[in-house]
Formats: sequence, structure tokens, C-alpha cells
Amino acid sequence: MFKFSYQYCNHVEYLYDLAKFAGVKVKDNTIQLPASLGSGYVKVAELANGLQVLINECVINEDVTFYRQPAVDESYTLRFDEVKNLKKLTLRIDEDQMFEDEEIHSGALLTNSLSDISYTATAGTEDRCINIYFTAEWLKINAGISAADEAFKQYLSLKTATFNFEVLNFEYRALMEEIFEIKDDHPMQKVMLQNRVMLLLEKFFRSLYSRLGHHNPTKALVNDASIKQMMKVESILVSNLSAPPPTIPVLARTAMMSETKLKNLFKTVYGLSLYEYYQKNRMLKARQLLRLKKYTVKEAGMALGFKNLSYFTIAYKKEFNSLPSEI
Amino acid sequence: MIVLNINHTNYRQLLEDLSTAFQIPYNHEDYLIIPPPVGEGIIKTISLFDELQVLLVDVRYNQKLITIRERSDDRYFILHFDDVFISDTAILKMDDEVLQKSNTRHSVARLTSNIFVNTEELPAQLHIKSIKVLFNEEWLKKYMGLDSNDDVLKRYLSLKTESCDIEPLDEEYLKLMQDLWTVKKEDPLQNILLQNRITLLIERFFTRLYSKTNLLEGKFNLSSEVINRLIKVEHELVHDFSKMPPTIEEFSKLVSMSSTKLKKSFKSMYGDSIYSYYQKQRLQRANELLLTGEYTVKQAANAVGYTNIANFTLAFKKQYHKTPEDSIADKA
Repeated sequence: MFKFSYQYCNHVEYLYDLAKFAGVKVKDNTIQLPASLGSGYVKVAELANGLQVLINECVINEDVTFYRQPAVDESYTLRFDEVKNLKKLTLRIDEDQMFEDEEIHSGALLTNSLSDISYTATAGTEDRCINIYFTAEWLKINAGISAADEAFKQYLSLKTATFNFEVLNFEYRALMEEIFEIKDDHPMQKVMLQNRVMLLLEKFFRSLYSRLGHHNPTKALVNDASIKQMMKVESILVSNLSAPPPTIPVLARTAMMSETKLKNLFKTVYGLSLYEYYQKNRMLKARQLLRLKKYTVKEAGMALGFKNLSYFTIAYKKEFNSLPSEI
Repeated sequence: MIVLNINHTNYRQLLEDLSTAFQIPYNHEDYLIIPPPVGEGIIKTISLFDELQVLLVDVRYNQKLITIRERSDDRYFILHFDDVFISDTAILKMDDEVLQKSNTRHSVARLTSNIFVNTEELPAQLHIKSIKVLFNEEWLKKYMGLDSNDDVLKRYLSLKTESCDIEPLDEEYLKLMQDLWTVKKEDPLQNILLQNRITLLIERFFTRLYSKTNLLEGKFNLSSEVINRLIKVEHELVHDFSKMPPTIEEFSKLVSMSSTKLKKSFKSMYGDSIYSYYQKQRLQRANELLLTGEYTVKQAANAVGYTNIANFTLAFKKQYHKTPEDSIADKA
């Protein structure tokens, strides 16, 4: 059991603190986790518009507690996490504490640096994360969003209840995948990263503003437990895009609910029916493969489990209104 | 006829200049309304980050307008996203090179720089829909990480007017542009939305430009001579939809190229085969007509060369995932 305690100023300092804790050196704003802790990398990118973005793809070998002491100056972090193999997660924001024991979690979380935060993840946890650091001033000047807005304040006051507030759907995922896949030697890598990060911000705040800040905020339609179930269903749905998706009866059993309830809930949480969602993900994946230019149309189609290539072309055309060959 | 000499890089100032030239009131806000009898429409400006300025133009003037952008010492660029159907004749000049366009759809992204004198002659009554993004060398370096002296950019700019048609606007561009037009004043997230759409437009232009380096360097054997001929083919193809387009054989005679080479090089330049390019363009034209609300489905179909309405509707649905009637309803 490790405990990493730090005071937050910004991502770059955090990276140096983490390197010291892990006993490794920072090189090009990147560290590789030592075998004693786990495997994977953590890196920080500093963008032209002043944002700092921390990107990590890691697996930890030991239980680790991250303890973030309250900072003197107010700033925010917005993180997008895709967590797998989680045995247990403990999250505490100020005096508010929660446990999460679902194996899978994929959500967005905005936190304030003035809060006293700690979280513990169990050994074996796999985390892919994009974490954006900004100040209220930055947000106002660069995005025109005020931290004094009702929606913003309401969100932060929910403390740990925000943990399952915003689930990652295929749009978030597609942006995240694009970020993870940006090549360091691409002449426009910085701007590509910046644009995707800004789109993540836009999408998150769009959702925040549409759900909070009204005089009578829409009551949460879905309870926490159901959201967790849906996250699980979603992760099963997108885990293997080359095989046919599990049938609805199978998914219903996994989620321990009736088929009708599953279908309705999924649509409420992710905005699309189960099949539409599966298909959309497949097509996004196809486009991603084709954009890499390493796959022919045929190979991309096969990789996504299409035996008949013309079905693939038709489905692709339906989604993007252009042919796979037109990438 | 109005002639406007522009020797600055300030879009607010440009609104001021236009209001003086046309003798119309300007409230010193970030937009200028063009009232009758001068014309109709609106021009908006947005400024972003430190140095980036955007001009959104949706106007029709009742007089011919000539704008002349002088050469100047501090190097800057303008990225134009034009979506215009030219029925009369419009002229683009870079230094002494002239590109004349008539009876055609001009729907392209193009980059100009003040290393040349840029002149635009826009005929009266032309419906101008355009988004222009102005930035300088430093911005390009700082935000895009691109050096204005690198080979691709130099090569592109040296093509002068020939570079004009290299990057046609596809649906992804048009969608981003549409978002810019439809953003609501009361949207609390309008700032980030505008910014993201604009930077995505810029990113798309430059990534595609860089992926076309081969084309720019002539690795597909597209010499500037071939590019010229392809521009001619494109023009013939889309300038009058009421007539049947020439066949590939006729085209290949017209530009003295083998049909294989013609097909291949057309595709590498415009991204579509000759026929699917033609098809896309005429449906886009039909959709525009429908969106004005002044044409019936039958009229629009006829205007782009369909005699059979059912065929037209089928093709339209294939491209837009909606019926032509939906487009008319969108206007209403």
C-alpha cells in the first residue's frame, strides 16, 4: 500500500512530485512508472492556449492512495477516466466519502483545488485518463465560461455525487482515442491535441449547463446504481467491435434488470438505443482505422466483423455520408 | 461600382470602411447590417486568442464590389472558406495572375497571403457566403506549430491562383461553417463553440494540405499545367447543370489527356470521381435552391438536370438523408 500525498499547483509540478515519489526521472515531460508501482506512462502537454493536459495510460501493481491537500489558489481539474479491473475505489471530497466497487468506470469529473481530496485505487487497476488543468480566469478568458455560474457552483456542491454525473459516451471516447493516438512527430500534433481537448471541455460544459443551473434543475432521472449498471453494459457493448454484440437478453441478465428497463435506461443515459450505439462505435472505429492509412477498406471492414464488404460500405455511408474509400 | 483598398489587418476597421464606402450606418458593434437599397445581409466579426480575427459574410450587394488587399511588410494570411454560386462573373487576382469564374459553384477553402496583391471582383447581386480567418506568421507558428517558410506552404502559395481550387469544401467543412452561422447569442457556451469550430476549420485545412504534399510536389505528375486543365474540366462539369455534362471521352479530348489519366488525376485533386463529383455538386446546388424557399421540388430538380422527380428525390435522399421537401420546410 503506497500513499502519495501532494499539494496541487499545476500538472507539471504534480508530474515532478509524482516522479520523486516513484523514484524515476522526468524526460520530455513524461515519466514511465517503475515496476514496483506498475506499468505505463504519465505525461503532461503544455498547450499554446495555456492549458496543461495530463495524459496517462497505466496499470498499478499495488494499492495506491492519492491524497491531494487543499491548495491556496483556486483552480480546477477536469478529468476523463476510463478505468478497468477496479476492485474497489474510495473517493473522498472534503468530508464526503464514497465507495465504488464496480469493475468498470468511465466518466468525467470536475474538481476544485480548494477541496481536500483523496482516492484509493486497488492493485491491478487499469486507468486511461485525460486530465485538464485550468484556472477560473483561464476559463473566463479562453472559453467564456464563468466559474461563478449557477450550474458550475451547483455541480461542485454535489461533491462525490458528481462521480457518476457524466458518463463517457462514444463521442467522448472517440475524442479520447484520437488524443491517445496522436503521434509525437506529426507536424500538427499540438494543435490536434489542443482542439480535441477543447472539444472535450465544450462537450462537458454543454452537458453541465443543460442539466444544471436552471431554477428548477431537472431531477436526476436515473439513480446512481442504474448508471453504474449502464456503464457496465456500455463497456461490454464496445469491448469487442469485431464480434456480434451480446444479445439484449444476455445484457439484461448482466445488468440484472428486465429487457425493457435495460433498453429504456440505456437510451436515457447514452442517448441512443443499444444497437445504434454499438453500430455508431463500430463506424467511428472504422473511420479511425482508415484515417491511420494503414488499413485498406477491406481490412477495416474485416477488423470490425463485416463479412460482406458491401454491407460495411453501406453502413459507413449511412453514418458519415461518404464512402470509406473517400478518407 | 465600389472599390475598396484595404491596407490594414483589422476586421472591425473593415466594417467601418465598408460602411463609409456604401454610406450606410455602422453602430461600431461587431457586426454590420447591409440594408436595402445597398443590398441585403450581414457581416460579423469575431476575434479570438490574441491575433486571430474572423469575418462571417452573408451578403448580396446591389453594386459590383472590388476589394484590393495591398502587399505589406508584416506577413499575414487569410484563410477563406467560400461557398458561393457565381452566376455572373467573379474575378480573383493575385498580383498579375487572374482567375475568372463564371457560372460555377465556387465552394473551396483557400489560403492567401499578403506577399501578393489580392484583388477580388464580386459582381452585383452575387450571394456571397464566406468565412475568412486572418492570422499572422507568429500565430501560425505559436498555435499551429507551422513555419510559414516551410516547403508545403511555400509551394502552395507559389501556385497563386492555381491553388484556389485545390481544396473543395466537403460536408465536414460545411457542417462546421453552418455551426458558426447558427450559434445563438444567448448560448452561455457560444465562445468556446465558435473557437472550437474555427480552430477545427483551420486544422482541417492544414492537415489536408499537408497530406496533399504529394500533390503539391507533383508526385502524381500533376504539373501546374495539368492542374490548370483539371480546373477547366471542373468548370465545364458544373457550370451549367441544365445541360448534360460532357462525357469522359469529350473531356479527355478537350484537355488532351488520356481518359485514364484524366480520371485518376481528377480524383486525386478533387477527391471524387468525375461523376460522383458532378452528382454531389448538382444536388448541393438543388439543396441551395430549395433552402431559399423560392423553388418547388420540381423546379429545383429541373434546374439541376433531372426530368424524373422520383429519381431526383432518391438521389437527394441518398446524399442528405432527408427529402427535398424537408429542405423547403427547413427554410420555413
